[in-house]
Amino acid sequence: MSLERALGIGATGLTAQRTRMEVVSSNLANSHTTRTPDGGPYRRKQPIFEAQAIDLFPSDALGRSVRAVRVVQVVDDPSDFMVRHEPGHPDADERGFVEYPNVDPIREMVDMLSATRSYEANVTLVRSVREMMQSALQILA
Amino acid sequence: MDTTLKIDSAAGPDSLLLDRAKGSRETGSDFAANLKQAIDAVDELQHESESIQVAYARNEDVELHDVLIKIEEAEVAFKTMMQIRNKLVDAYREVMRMGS
Repeated sequence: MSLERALGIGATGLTAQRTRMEVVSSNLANSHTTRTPDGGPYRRKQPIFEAQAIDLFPSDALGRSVRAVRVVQVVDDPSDFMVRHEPGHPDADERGFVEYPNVDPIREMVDMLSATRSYEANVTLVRSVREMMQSALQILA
Repeated sequence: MDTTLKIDSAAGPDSLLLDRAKGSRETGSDFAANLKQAIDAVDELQHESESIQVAYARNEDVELHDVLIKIEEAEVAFKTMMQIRNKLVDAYREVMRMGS
């Protein structure tokens, strides 16, 4: 039944935005991290979303055309690190420059708001589907 | 009956239940067996809903929204079953009134 399918797709949207929020929190928490296990400062992460075919009722034509979403991978942002002159810092190079993560807190805040709003939109969808189910039940009542 | 079964099978990977129901219908099994299967299907959803709640409470890798959606699915399935039950009881009363 497609109403359940709509619910399932909404759930994947919620999961995707939740993952995005995790990535944002990782970026914000590490916005001043100068040391990582791989060496060098923390690199900004970004989630990559992919439309995904749903395996529920694959025989149905509509089921083959609609897509759920999922986070396929979280990739590093290759842009340059921010460099600051702090000769007293233990991680400074021989000229006294310290590389800080390429995380822009303002951009992360915008991403955070966007993730929150998208999550809300998906919740609204789930709620609407629920209301549709409840009103379908009113047919017999 | 049909509606309940469909709700259940669409709710999860357990389309097995629908297949089972279909199979029994093809072999012409009686109404009571079909009814029992449908009720079992709803019951199965209730159990799934319960186990995912327990899993969440145990801090296992379960998404909060998946818990809530599962609860909702179980509730809708149960409400559908109740609607059908009400319809059946109405029909029964109708038949019982025939004598008077």
